[in-house]
Amino acid sequence: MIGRIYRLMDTKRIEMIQREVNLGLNEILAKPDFLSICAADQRYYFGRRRREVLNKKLPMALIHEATATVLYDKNGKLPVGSKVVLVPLIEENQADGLKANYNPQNPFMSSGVDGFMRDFVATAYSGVIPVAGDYSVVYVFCEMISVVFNALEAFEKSRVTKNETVGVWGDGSMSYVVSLVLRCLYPDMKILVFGKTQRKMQRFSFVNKTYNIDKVPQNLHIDHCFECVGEKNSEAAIKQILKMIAPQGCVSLLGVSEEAVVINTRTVLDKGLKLIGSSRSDAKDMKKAMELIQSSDVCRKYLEILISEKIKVKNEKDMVHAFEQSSLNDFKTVIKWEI
Amino acid sequence: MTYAGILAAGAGVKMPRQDMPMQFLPLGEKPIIINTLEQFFINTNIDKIVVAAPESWKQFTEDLIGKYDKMGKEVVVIVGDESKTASVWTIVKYIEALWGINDNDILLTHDAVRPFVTQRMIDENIETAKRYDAAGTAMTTNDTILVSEDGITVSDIPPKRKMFAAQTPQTFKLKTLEATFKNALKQNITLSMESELARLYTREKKVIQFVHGEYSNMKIISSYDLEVANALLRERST
Repeated sequence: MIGRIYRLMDTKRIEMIQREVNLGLNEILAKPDFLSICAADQRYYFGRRRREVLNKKLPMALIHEATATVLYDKNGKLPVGSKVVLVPLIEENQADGLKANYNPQNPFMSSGVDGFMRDFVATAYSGVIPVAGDYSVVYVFCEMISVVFNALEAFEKSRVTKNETVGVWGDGSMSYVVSLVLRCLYPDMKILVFGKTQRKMQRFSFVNKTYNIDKVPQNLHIDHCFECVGEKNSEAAIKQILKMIAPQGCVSLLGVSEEAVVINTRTVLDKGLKLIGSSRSDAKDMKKAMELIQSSDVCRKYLEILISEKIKVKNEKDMVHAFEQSSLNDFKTVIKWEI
Repeated sequence: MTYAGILAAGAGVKMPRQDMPMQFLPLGEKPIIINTLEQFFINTNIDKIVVAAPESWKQFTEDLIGKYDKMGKEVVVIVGDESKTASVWTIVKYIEALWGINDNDILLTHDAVRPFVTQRMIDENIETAKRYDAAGTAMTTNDTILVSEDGITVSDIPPKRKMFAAQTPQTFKLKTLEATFKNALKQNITLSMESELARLYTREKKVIQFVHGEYSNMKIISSYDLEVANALLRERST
């Protein structure tokens, strides 16, 4: 059947392309409902990736955070009209001991292959996670939350000291979600957030305390840290983390930086720290994220206020508007996809 | 109940050395009409589909549709009429006879040769027809429209801002549509013109609310159109 895909052709230029979509025997057809713009999408859209990266990856449809409605399932496993979360990682290859999201052979949608900016998606069953019970826009954050579960899996394996104070660096959406998941999973944990914009940090009502990075009190004890700053400021954040973290702590790095970041390895060695890189997630992490959303009313409420703006999109002009607005919004920009 | 009436009864033979109606010619890997129908198969708001085919091609149309996955949709093929308006009336009568017409029933009509219809257009047509008497998909025109009384000289140039090109889908409350047809027939109004249906509505002061169309929702009626449509379906790399 004829399908439409909306690809970023070059910086700030989105074009619709019509092409034939063939539905495989074990594939379902789903229509995206809600899409959420991620920092990675913004880097492509605004051309903040290196030119050689843009040349290699574009044209490409953006967006890897999405929910959808099932339009058709030949095998009848998923009812027409049922709601699903779309999984951006295509787990085509398995390797012993290697998590699917770290296997370079597994494509990730909106980074190398087309993302979810389409009128409908033909996908294998493994590409969707059915939503049981009440449907809500917050399921669009499943992928983002799953990234936190992926980071926590490595964090749990690595940390030596427990039950302590955790510092989260960053005052944006990723930092918010990391702090929220920590709060939901570890109710007794002391969570401190370090950022620079007071207006944004006010949103973190569920953490123990927020600090301006320029006015941090001396002698704060922090056992482990999560770095969610990314881009050029991640270097300063890591520098501050290394200074403040207690010996034998874990530093979970989640912020993406296009440029190389300098890290003082003497401090890492002296304190016996563990630096844990973390990126993306697999389908199991996404299921954990779904379970968290389903099990906690409080979590859902906090996720609802993570949405800075919800924008209806019916055409390419609306898409451009949504991306431009996303750069002005403090937190997440969610698209109601009416294509 | 929401019905889709697919208007495929026009002979549409505008291709040189081509005796098959346009809607059956291939676009990409499938006939045009199948590409069109698939957009209605996957639409969750459509309950049943009635295809109005040319009399001599009715059986062929049934065979053709039978070869593809209808994705659980009920599809019937009936004999339509050369005129689009008369075909719509035929579909209305068929629905009335077979299933009856209820207050909330909607009929969405669409040209078989517009395979690039989108889910948005279908959904908005249905929503709009429920709120008003009817919905009509329309686009602003790129070209300036000239009026000529004699076909040789310009007699008027209407303001461009008032000019819109009609596309399909066009969608109606079925009860209102049936009543409009009956009124017209009582007054011996001919149904032979393509635009007659909209005229019947405006004459009775009924509201046809616009739904935004798209330039890509093209009508494939010539070999040039078909070439363009096939080109649109080819993946572009830049």
